[in-house]
Amino acid sequence: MRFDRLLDDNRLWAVRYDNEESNCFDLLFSSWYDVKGLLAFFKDNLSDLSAFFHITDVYEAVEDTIGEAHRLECLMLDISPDANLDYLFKHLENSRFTEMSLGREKVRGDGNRNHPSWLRIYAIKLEPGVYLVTGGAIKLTATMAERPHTLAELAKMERVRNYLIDEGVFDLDGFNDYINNEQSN
Amino acid sequence: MSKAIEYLEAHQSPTPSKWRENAQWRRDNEFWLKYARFITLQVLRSMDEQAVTQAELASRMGCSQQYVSNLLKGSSNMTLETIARLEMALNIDILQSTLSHVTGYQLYPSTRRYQYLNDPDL
Repeated sequence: MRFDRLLDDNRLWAVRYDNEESNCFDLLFSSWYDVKGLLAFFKDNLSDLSAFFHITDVYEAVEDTIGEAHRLECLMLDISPDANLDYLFKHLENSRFTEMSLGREKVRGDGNRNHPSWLRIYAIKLEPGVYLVTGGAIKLTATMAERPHTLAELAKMERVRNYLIDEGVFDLDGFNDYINNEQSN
Repeated sequence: MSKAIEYLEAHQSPTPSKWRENAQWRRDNEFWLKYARFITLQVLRSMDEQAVTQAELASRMGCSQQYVSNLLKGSSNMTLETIARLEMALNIDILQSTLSHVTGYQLYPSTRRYQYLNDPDL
């Protein structure tokens, strides 16, 4: 497993998995612009698309995805040095309101006037304001465990998280100091 | 520098990330990429309606299946010849519907053009 720096100030990184031609962030966005690939995906997942988003036109879904990917990509391109990534990434678990060591996080697209976003970028939070992207997905169901492709992203996050723990990357003292500081504020 | 960042730096990929370069290219070329994507969607819809496979389309166009596969990703800067070959292969009108969808521009029917050419008051 290798890592690519996405921002020059070291706040955002992405995993480059073994045998992949590029890092997961680059590959993710490339897939979100692949018209043929997107069409095949939405045809395979049409029942979820119609059940949760009430969309039956797969071509409309492809157009929506590319439009949203474009906006999300521009957002990532234009991240300012002063921007706090903690406001961009949210806890993966909607019910979690506390910090956890090497927490699993996500970015959602902004959706459009017709439906909420189905685009997701997944990451591990290494420390306040610093994230390591592990992958992403088009999420058409309520939970990640419901479909193989989102379950695979969950597995990737766990794998990366365990890898970092095994490599001794995680700074427990730093994390405890951060939590204590947050609780006293 | 934190332990985590030190670790990531020490284990960076041997070649730098191309994400920013690719993303910037997409943004800089969005003005024509939107046409390429729309055309591709039209082609794919027509292929579905006619049950034409990629192999069949390639055969009708006189090109390789790999070429068609790349075209259908939606980021090719297609030549007018390629668009015309797609139109002939699938018996569809791509250019007019692309123009009217993306810009709202409607081509004049041929009779109207003839009238204009012969009536300077129009």
